[in-house]
Amino acid sequence: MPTLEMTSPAVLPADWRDFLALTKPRVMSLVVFSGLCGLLVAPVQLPLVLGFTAILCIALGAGACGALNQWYEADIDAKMRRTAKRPLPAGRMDRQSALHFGVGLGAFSVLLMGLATNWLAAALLTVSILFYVLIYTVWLKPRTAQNIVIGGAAGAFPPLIGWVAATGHLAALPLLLFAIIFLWTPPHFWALSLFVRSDYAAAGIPMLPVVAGYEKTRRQIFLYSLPMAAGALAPWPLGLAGLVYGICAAVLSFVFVILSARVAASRSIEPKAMDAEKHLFAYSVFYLFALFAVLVADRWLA
Amino acid sequence: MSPTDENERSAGKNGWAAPADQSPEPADGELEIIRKRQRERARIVALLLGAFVVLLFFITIAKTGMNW
Repeated sequence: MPTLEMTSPAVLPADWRDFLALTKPRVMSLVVFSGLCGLLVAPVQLPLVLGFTAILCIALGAGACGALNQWYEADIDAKMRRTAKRPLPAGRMDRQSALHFGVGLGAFSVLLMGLATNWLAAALLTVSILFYVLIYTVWLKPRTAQNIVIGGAAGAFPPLIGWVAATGHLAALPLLLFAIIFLWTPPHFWALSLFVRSDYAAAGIPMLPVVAGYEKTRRQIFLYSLPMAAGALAPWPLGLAGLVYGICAAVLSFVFVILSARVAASRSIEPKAMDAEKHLFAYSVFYLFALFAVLVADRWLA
Repeated sequence: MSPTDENERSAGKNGWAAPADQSPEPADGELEIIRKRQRERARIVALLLGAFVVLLFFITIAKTGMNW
């Protein structure tokens, strides 16, 4: 359980670049892209400015999640090589500024979403922020190896929010997109956590490789890739997407399953030798981008 | 020692003393960095507020055009 004491008192006012870093811009790019795809596949076309605002709100909400996550985990981040240079553990910013920034950004994104699009989208954005911060960061992450499995729901909200921002209601396709990201998250994160296992172990985070070991994690990665592939294909037989999507999803998912099988067959315990895990991690990011891009293209071609 | 003497002793050369719970005055170089960061942050906030006003204007146009 992280304490709420200051890691290192910051004397200087934080640089604006550090506030930007708090929002985890790289993570935000995938969130924004999936939200945009949810918006673009919706049967209703929003005016450009409202569509832009909806995506902006999703981005700001994701930024708020990143800031609040870093506020809460500053002590843990200080113990991990991968995160030690972030503004809070590096002492470039005080914790209160991060908290105020995160809460302010979150509240602003929800209000703007409600005013610009509709209040159902704003409610979903609120749920996704609270789920990420309270359920994932505060409750699950420091307590259970299932943190990523359940917490993955937080990252699965953007396409749902994008769709609802455009239409004002829920439907089968955005729920499927939610399911795809939900099922994609465990193999994606477990592949990463295999080659940064020592970091998680040092910080006391019970990620699956730390708690259950390499072999079980690799098996779980492969097992999760199967329902994920089925979920990715589902829009086609259900009539929610066309042949172009069906073929592309099949090829992309097949490669994902093959790479997962390679991970399952791997026996490396040295991070430098974990090529299969690194390949899967890199491919998993490409996979989600490509799958959602193809879905949008398929909709527009139809 | 009178209260006045005590105040004068603790005061700086400008007759000002930092309260006990405040950090000491920053050095000249540090002050310059603080001012630079404050200027940069003020500029960014101004730009963002300006962008927000423009965005609100266009949102209003779009919403009224949609007759919601």
